[in-house]
Amino acid sequence: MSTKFTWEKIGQIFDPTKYSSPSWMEHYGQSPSTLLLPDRIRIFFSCRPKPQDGYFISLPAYADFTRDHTFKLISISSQPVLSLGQRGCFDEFGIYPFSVYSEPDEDPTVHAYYAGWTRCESVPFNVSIGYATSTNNGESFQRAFPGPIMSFTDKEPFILSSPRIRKFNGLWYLFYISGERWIQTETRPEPVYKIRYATSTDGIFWERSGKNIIPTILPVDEAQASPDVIFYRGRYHMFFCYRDIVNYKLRSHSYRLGYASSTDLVMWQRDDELSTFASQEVSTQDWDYDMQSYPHVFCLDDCLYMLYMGNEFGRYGFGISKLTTDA
Amino acid sequence: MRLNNVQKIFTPSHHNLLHGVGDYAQSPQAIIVDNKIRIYFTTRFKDSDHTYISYPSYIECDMDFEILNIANHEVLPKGLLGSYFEHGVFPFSPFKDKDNHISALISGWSRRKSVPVETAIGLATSLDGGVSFTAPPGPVLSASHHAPFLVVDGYLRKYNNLYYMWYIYGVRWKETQDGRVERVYKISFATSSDLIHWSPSFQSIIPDMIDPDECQALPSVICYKDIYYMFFCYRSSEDFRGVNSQNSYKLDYATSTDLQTWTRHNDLEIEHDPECQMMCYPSPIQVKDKLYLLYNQDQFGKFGFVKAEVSI
Repeated sequence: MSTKFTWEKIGQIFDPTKYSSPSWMEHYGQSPSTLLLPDRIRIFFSCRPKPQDGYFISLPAYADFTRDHTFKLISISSQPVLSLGQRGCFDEFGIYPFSVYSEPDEDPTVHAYYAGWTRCESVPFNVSIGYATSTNNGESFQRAFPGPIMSFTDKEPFILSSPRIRKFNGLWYLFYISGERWIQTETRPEPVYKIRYATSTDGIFWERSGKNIIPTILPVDEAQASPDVIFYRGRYHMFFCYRDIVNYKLRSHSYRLGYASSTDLVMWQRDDELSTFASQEVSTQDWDYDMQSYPHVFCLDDCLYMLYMGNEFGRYGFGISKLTTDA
Repeated sequence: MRLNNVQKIFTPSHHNLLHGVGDYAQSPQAIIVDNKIRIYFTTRFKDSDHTYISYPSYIECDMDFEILNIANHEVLPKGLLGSYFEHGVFPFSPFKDKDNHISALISGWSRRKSVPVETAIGLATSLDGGVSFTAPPGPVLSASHHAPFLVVDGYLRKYNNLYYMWYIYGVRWKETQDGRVERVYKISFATSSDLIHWSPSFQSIIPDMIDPDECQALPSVICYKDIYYMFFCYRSSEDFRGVNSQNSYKLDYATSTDLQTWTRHNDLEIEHDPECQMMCYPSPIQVKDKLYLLYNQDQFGKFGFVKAEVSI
């Protein structure tokens, strides 16, 4: 039986442009990912200093919030939790998104899978997925390898990004996106990418299914991102986002949220209508009016919450919503 | 081991290739097809922005290395936008399988901002006996885990029902005193049962002779009289482009009986040529009972390639 998710918006809970944050956290709070600590909720995200020569870099950080369901900001990390990669490495110019997983009852290690960004000449960038660990509750991470743990293949030629790490039934699952092709648009080359998954017994070497797993609904060239999966009421649920590859800074073409479910983590049924926001008054001034993307769903004291980022690809941070209905 | 009778085989500037008069003929690698020696190499043309693009071509020779035929058609289409070989292929490594099916490992180049290039190795297949090839936009071996960048120079052979790829990988980009970035790379190998999925060893398998920054390139392997020979070239990491032959590429070889452990010999004798400052990109070919080595000389093969007889 289908579960219908209706989310009540609580609102924006973190906007780096509103705090006297350090210079490396000038703006952006992208792709939130949670680590539940005994006395707080630690939310990792990627932020950016001011651009240099027109180019951004992206760095992972965290902000801590109260876990009393009011999500009040306690503090932000004093420095990025992982430094950029060495010259020529896949993660030399950015670490975004940054997805964490831990099983504190088993092992205090926090595992992070992240997308590393490099700059290219003919196309703006390429991305692949790296792995880092922390033994201090995510205060700082060390990369496990100088190279990515997912490399390009004959079927996945470029842009391996948007990692979401999970463990189900003792097996590691990495949901990610894979670039299909670059399209030369009027302004610049734009990539088309789709959601895929891989499994692993050790979290280091991965078996990829090699297939797109979420059907598209846009007429052409849908780009999908942030495949965030939970197990809830006997099914697996994936929350993700998708957009057009042109004019995607406009509300009509920009990122919005999608939904699919599965019983076996292999076959997915997409039905975006099964995860929607409760009808609330909307204003063009809202922080999430133009764009809603990079969802992350987590469970706190038996309540489900969804974090997501708002306008301008999370330039003004992220907000939270709460599951209100069950059907 | 000694190289005798060094002889120029092909001078690209004397011939018209796909994009006009040849410029460079790098990394000659031969297979024998229909009782002819077909030598693939990569040559270059200048792109619209005046930067070089490297692409494969080949010549066909009789069994005495006399040229019969020079290809001037498109051997491999250019890589797509954003693909690992969109800015060129070098080297191009042909392989004839037991069923006579011809494929090739191609080393693809794409340009980067903070360093000049990134590379990866892909598989190209042919349906017409190696006259033309196609390759998907993605590689079969690229940067991962302990090999962070510059996976390149793939060379393919099948021994004991297993495919072996020898290749090189970057260990660091060095910033030199004059502000350049120079790469340091080492030889490694991977194995596969299907040519698509490769298990890399992630280890340097040839010890350094110069210093830890020694660059080792173009490993090529042949089984000759029950011993595996690996030919390769090596150089210093700096000041290797000019006429300082002390730092330029030189040839060397290693031997193995199990394809796992290699002994580097560093005793290759070559007849002295005072005009030759550089020797690089070697690959062996056995013709009848004789072992030959094809390789490039000055300026990384700008002026073509030579052959030499190998006496062991």
